[in-house]
Amino acid sequence: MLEVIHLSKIYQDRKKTVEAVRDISFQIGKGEIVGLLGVNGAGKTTTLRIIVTLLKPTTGSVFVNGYEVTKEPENVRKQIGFLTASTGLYARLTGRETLMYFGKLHSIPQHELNKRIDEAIQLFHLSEFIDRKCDKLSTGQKQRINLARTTIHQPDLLILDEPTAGLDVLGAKAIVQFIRNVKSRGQSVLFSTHRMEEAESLCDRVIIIHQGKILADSTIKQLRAESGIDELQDLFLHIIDERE
Amino acid sequence: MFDLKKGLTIFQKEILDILRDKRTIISMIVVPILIIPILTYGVTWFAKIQMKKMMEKEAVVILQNAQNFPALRDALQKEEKIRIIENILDTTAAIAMLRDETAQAIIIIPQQWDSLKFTLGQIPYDTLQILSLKTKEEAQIVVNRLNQKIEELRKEYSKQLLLRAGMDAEILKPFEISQVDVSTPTEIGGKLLGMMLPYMLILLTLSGAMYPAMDLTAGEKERGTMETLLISPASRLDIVFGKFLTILTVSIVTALLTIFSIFFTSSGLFLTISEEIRTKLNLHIDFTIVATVLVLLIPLSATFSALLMTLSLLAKSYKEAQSYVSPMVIVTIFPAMMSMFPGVKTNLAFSLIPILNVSLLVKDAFTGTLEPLYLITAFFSSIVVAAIAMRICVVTFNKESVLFRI
Ligand SMILES: Nc1ncnc2c1ncn2[C@@H]1O[C@H](COP(=O)(O)OP(=O)(O)O)[C@@H](O)[C@H]1O
Ligand SMILES: [Mg+2]
Repeated sequence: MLEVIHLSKIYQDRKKTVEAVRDISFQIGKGEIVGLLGVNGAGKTTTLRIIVTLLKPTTGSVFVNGYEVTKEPENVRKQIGFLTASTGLYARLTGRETLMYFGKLHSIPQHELNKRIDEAIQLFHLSEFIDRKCDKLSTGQKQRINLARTTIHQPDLLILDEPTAGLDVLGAKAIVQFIRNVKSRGQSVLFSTHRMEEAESLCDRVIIIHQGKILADSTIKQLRAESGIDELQDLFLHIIDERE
Repeated sequence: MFDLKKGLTIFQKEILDILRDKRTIISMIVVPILIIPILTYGVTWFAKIQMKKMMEKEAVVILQNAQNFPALRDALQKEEKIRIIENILDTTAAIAMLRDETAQAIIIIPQQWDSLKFTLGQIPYDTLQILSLKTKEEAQIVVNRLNQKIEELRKEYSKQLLLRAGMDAEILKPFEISQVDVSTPTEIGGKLLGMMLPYMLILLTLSGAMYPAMDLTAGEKERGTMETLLISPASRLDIVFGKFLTILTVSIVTALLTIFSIFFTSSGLFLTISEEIRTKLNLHIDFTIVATVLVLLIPLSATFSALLMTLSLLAKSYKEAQSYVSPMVIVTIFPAMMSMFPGVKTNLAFSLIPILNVSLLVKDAFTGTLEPLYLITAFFSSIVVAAIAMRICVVTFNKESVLFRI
């Protein structure tokens, strides 16, 4: 499904170079939910942006369903849905127009697209506001449109960059619910977070990233057993301390 | 790599999106339609009002030694809106009154002036002095009126002196002068438009592209929608194509509306002038003019669109984009203005310089002096410049350091 192989990313400008990601490798299988865990600046966003073809790797390669991100970026993009905390919507388009637009860019035939939009309206409870301009919607309503937009092309892999950041309890709960649903449909999810408890409640597996390097790739249960630490924060700090 | 269908999907969406924005409607439709008549009529109207105000105001003229020249005093007293003061004999005090605008002019009749000489048929050979402040417009209007009055008096006296000497007053005009204008109506109407239109056209083509260029790039980054678009299956080239075409369309529509507005305004203005002048000024648009404007306008618009898009792409926010694109206005104004300088003539070198070539050739088309060779060279030069600008735009759009600046 997803294969990351010896991936590195160096940001370079006139003033400085930043080694944001240093030789990381991991895999995600079909239907798996994996959390990418790390503090601010650990390299989460950079990694995810490379997977979704927004950035080019400095070295290494990434395959999504067998397509390589630098060689066939357009095919890779068909396999994935991407959502970040800062993802905005076109303020002057309605929810329906937004879904139509991205559906068309994904070359979904018109009748099929109409069907999928109807399904999305059901699934995300959009009927009340689907034909209202996005700038007239509440944060929660925008979030639901965004989730529908992320999945309109039925991607095999969902990449979510700190999806709950900046959301209230209800918003965060909706996201958690969404990730659970996705799993039941056999799609895979890679999501980044800096919150241990979120990872614990959702993930099959966590990948802990720190200063661009992977420190652990395992289940939380396994990590607890290895270290003998039960409390999540302490467990996380222990791993960073020990393996850095 | 390039998928026309996706490019057009993006174009369609961007047009819908931007047309729902009041700011686009204002800069694309309202400004070009209104700015020309407002400028034209506004300036004329304002000038008229100012003129009327000045004419209606009572002018104060200080007359010194008026008793020496009663004929002048009588003539001025008959004038409307002129008040004569005779009791200020000190010239310094009188000048002070000019400065604080309690008086507009001083006429000094010399002490030794002897009006009787006229009646006796002698020539006094003396000098009348009119004092005023050249820097005060109102005063100048008064001085003009005074000059006119005094000139009438002077003519009258010359006539009388000649009669007394037994000569005909006609001797003062030994021959007549007649000026004949042989320019054709196209040349006159064209000259008027030819000066103004290229400048307005170039600037509005630029300003029309400006808002969408910023909104579709920096604006999209600022609102956080750029990433979503970039991870859709549309390629970078599709995206640049769709956005560029949107900016180009808005810019061309703005330019075309400007042209219509200029024609309507001028025709409207012509209705207010006399029949005779109107037939002479007969506005004349033919195929050459339309073709020239279009041939030059489209690559110019493309260049502006691509450059503005590139500059705005560099910015992270709408505000930052504004500071990047505003220097382009200054760079554009100077060559655009060249159509208004009467001495500048199109030549091969000028026909190759972007913006300047449009300015000069559009003017030539209006005055009927278009040289086809220069139109061809200008067209190809514009195409090359536009292609370079578009290339720069595509390269910029593919730079991750530009799209993901932190
Ligand atoms: N566009 C960029 N240019 C230069 N440095 C960057 C850029 N984006 C991120 N970085 C740097 O790379 C490192 C990793 O950042 P990021 O991947 O955003 O981490 P995270 O998402 O885990 O907080 C940080 O030190 C950050 O400052
Ligand atoms: Mg991040």
